[in-house]
Amino acid sequence: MIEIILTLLSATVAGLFAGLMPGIGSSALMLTALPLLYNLPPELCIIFYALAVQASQFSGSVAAINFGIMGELTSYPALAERNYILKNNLQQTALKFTAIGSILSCVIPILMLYPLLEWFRQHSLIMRTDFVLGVLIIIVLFCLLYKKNSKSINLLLVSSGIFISQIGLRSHGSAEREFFTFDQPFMYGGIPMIAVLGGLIAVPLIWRYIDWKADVDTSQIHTEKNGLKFPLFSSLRGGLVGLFSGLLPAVGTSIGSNLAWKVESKFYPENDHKSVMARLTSAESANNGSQITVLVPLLVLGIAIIPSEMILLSVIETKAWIPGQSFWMFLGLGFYSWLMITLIISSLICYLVSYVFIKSISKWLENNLKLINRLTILIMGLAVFYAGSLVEARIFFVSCFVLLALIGVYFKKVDFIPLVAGYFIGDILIDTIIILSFIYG
Amino acid sequence: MVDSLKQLKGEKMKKVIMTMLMFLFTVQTYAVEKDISFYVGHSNGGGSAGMQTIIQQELKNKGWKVNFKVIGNCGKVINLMETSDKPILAGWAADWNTSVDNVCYNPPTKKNFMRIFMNTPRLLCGPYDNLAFDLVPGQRYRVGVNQGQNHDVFLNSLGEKLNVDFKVIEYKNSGFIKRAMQAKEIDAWYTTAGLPQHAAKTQKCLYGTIAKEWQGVVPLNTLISTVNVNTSWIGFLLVNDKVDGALKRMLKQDLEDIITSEDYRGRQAAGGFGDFITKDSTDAQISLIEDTTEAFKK
Repeated sequence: MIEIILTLLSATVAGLFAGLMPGIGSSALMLTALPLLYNLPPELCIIFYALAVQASQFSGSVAAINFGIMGELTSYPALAERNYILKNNLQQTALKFTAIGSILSCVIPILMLYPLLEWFRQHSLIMRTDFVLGVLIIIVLFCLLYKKNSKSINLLLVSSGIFISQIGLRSHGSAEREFFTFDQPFMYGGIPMIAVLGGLIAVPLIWRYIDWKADVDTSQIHTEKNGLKFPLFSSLRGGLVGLFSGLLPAVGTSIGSNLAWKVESKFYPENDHKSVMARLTSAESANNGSQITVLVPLLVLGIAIIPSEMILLSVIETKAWIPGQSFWMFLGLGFYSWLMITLIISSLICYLVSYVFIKSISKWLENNLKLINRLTILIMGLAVFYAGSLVEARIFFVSCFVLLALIGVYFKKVDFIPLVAGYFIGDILIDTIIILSFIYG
Repeated sequence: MVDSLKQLKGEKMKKVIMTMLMFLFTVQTYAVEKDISFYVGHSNGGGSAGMQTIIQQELKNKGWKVNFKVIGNCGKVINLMETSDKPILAGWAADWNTSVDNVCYNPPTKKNFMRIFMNTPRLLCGPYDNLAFDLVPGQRYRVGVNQGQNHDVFLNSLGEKLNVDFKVIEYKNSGFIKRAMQAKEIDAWYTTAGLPQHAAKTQKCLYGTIAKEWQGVVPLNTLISTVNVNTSWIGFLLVNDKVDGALKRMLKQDLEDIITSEDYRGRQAAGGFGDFITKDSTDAQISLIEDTTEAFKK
């Protein structure tokens, strides 16, 4: 029991913290949590991930509204509505509505999760290798069309990611295949995942906010505007948009909130209190909804479709976890029951923290942000060192991390998400093509 | 009388010498620090790494100080064994030794070999929940196998013998094969993963790389006489040259005690790998490994 309680609390606190912190996205959160995850059974790792990411979405909007910074793409709608909110002193109302919307939008996906998983499992077509290839091709296409870079840069990045994923001594049954190891044993394990993600994604993101200064007085936060009703239908609409967008590879969670925001703009196009709150609540509801359904392809097919989930997959794969099969039981309840129970409890904690204690947390963060950002990079470096020590390759891991972080910071205009996606799908893409060559060859 | 006195003195002398030798041996044994690095070349999470994790825990229970690491890469482990000045124990697989050109080539010798810790037969099994599965002559069957282990050579011979056509499809690992079976992408599999399902009667296995009939599974060596019938999964423990003398003797004895214990065998069977651990001599075990290695060659 203590394991579950600790997972629940640590994931919720870590998630809330990461969401509030500018620059620390869910990928950085998962990287810094790696030492903990390596010591948990796979089912608890999945629960940790679901709770932490969910919690970070709760508090993410707080960082966007209060500090005006976009930790992740999901915060864009909150950032877009921020000027109106600040001008009209609507921070407290906005935080309250987004917190209620977040909790409401968790309930539907949580209840839908089990039937969705069962539906996926009953349809054997989805388990087929050719279907998996189809999903992978869609991921590659989404990466190529990734808006932050040009298509040619995306192509280069995805190809580089697939290439990097193949470096090392790869097991091919009885024979081991060397690929760009230059006969150096330290290269046999390949370029470590933690260095690729930490160096190219997390460090540049944190670096962007290393000298950030707050531009809003947190004393205004507790002046709530009365008379505004919670936009229930906007929240439900956003939750549903998030539910389905979460299933889209690579970009599902990112576009969920933006799509819901755009959809709600059709219903509430005005620039008044009611419309702004409706759009914001819908976007934040979608945000939370998508974070739950994004788990479905992972739990059924073992395919991670967003970077933070890829880190989770890389950990649970080392623990004999097989997609769609979980025999883990505790107090007579299975994995999915515990996932739903803990998600509901965690959502309630998040609501309380995001709404009740937000003023004091905001004040504390404002005063300590720089230090926390620096500490996070340090913790990440230590996590890399720890991961390296697990396979007797500390120097190699740390060197890769430092080198890739320098590349990430130097090329700050390039978004390396397509490279990371290519790195993660590289192995499974090549294996899938080989299997299909046997089936249809 | 004098003779019997001399005999008595001789016996006493023998006892004294034996006691002194035992004392010296004990002193020497305790003087050697039971300290070892235990590296796993298999991926974390697989059956091999799982059983090696149990072994390291049992070694700790026996007073060993074990630096246990799942390196997950046999090339790195072999490099550590060759370059480190510390005593190292490592788990190895018979099929890694099929070619001297392989980075992980490290055949067992009397000097480096400890013992076999896993021996799991490969079974030819039908789909889940189809207990009526049988191979019908003249039919074609898509069979899932682990990649790169040349199972097509043996399955083609078996197909000829049984008058069926096997279309061999190579998958990365047993997880992929299980998913393919669920998706009905394959009609049968030839892997080490069918033991628990067959024993639980949720899947029917017909043939296996076993020495004698087991729960209705026919030994393949009764059908085909080539070396390729021996493709069981055999895992064994090796040491580097820093493990010698008293340290090696103690380690070998403790490993023997752990691996042949009821507890270890029970845990191996519960993990779905069966109870096929041999108590044969070191020579016989090395010979079994060599035969198995041969079976994976074309």
